Amino acid sequence: MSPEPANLPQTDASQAKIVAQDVDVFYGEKQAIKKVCLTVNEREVTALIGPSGCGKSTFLRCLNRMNETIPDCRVEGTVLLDGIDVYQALDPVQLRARVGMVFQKPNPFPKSIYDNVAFGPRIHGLVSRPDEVDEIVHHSLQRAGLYDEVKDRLQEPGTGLSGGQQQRLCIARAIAVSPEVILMDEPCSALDPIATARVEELIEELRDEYTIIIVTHSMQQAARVSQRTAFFHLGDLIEVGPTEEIFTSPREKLTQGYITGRFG
Amino acid sequence: MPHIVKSFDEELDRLRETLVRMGNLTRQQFGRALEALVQQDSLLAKQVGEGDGEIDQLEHAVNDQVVRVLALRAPLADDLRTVVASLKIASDFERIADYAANIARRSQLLNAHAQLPAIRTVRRMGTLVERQIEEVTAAQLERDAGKAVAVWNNDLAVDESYSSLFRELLTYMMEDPHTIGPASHLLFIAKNIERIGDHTTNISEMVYFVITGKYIEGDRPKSDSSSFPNV
Ligand SMILES: Nc1ncnc2c1ncn2[C@@H]1O[C@H](COP(=O)(O)OP(=O)(O)O)[C@@H](O)[C@H]1O
Ligand SMILES: [Mg+2]
Repeated sequence: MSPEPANLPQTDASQAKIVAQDVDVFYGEKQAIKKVCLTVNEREVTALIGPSGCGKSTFLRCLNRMNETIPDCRVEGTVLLDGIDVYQALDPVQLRARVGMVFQKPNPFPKSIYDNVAFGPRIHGLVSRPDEVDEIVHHSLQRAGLYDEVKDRLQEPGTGLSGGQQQRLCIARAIAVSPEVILMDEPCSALDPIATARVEELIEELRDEYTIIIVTHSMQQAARVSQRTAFFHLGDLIEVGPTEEIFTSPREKLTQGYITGRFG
Repeated sequence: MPHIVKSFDEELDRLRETLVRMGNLTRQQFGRALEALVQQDSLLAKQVGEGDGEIDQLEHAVNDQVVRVLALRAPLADDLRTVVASLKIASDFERIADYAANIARRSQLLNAHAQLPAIRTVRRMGTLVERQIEEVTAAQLERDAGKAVAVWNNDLAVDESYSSLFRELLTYMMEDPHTIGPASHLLFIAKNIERIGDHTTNISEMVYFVITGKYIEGDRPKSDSSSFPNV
């Protein structure tokens, strides 16, 4: 059996939700992502792993054009969402509604819990009547597994919640605009094990509806939540494959060295 | 390449050492059981029986070390394969040692009878298997996948020598019913040796898996012993 080249799309195009082709990212002169080709399957969780500074967050931001908000950042190559070129054929605001993002540090707006969730649907004009807003807020909080904990204090500020609750609030906020893809950049790095377990359980539940890409520094987390894992090193995509294979028998020495704690 | 966390390397080394010790001790037990059989040495046979406890203890030690590493280090990739395979390898060694003790016990019963000429075939077969245990332990210690494959392939010779021994013993028993007692003891012993060969083959598969992350390709070579009941 000939080894699969690590940098080719490896999955059946029919399940491909996002296809990145030869993506380069530069910060000024410095190249942070090098000719990365990666296919992300629909309704799967894909984990991005690799040492700090290898370009995971940079790559994640390419997928919803968040890099454009960074001065001096230049993206080359192609990113397709359902086969459509996101840089050529989509408006960034619409794109970000379809490809939502959850960050490392929970960042609720300084508004009520209710308004945090209602904000997106309102600005995207997804709702007009108050009962529609209620419905979306309710549903999104439910889906994020937070509703029961906050239903009696929806008008209190989101910033008053615990870290884990804030992160689930941010997930509810992302869900509220009905995205197809959710990007998560180390969503649990500021959470304790119980709050982490809740978010992981949530990711598992969300997988039936959404395509999820998660950056994580925890190998165990990647192993627990993802179906596919991609390993980055110094801006290169070294290896991508079924999570089980990556963590039991990676093909590349570099992957093995990293995940077993021999370098980092 | 060593791990960043040095104590992790130490724990993995300790696990490997325990297994190699188990391998050496197991081979020694088996070698002594064979010698007790061939030399009709009841005292040695008794010592083999007494030595079995130490191997059981080593298996427990492996189990404890594995649980500890899994809990504290959450190993992955080749480390994970090493740790999980250790459990299986230890259990195979333990079974081999059990068979060795069994052979020693049965050899004591045989000492009441005159030795059958077939003892030479048994000894040949036993020496072959002892060499297999030695090779598989070396494959593990030296992380030598080629050696593991060689052990795996050599099991065919063990199976073949069991088949021919089976025929030989059957012939004695048909010619002279008085030999049925000792011949059936020898037959059970030969079967034990053949099973030891199988466990050694299992270990070679595990060693190969640890090193390569893959299973040895192809069907295991099997001699045609289908005309004999699987006693
Ligand atoms: N806004 C920025 N301006 C300049 N360089 C950046 C910026 N963000 C990231 N980088 C650089 O790009 C590389 C990849 O960073 P990043 O994508 O944050 O890595 P990771 O998320 O894997 O830790 C690093 O060398 C980092 O210093
Ligand atoms: Mg990052």
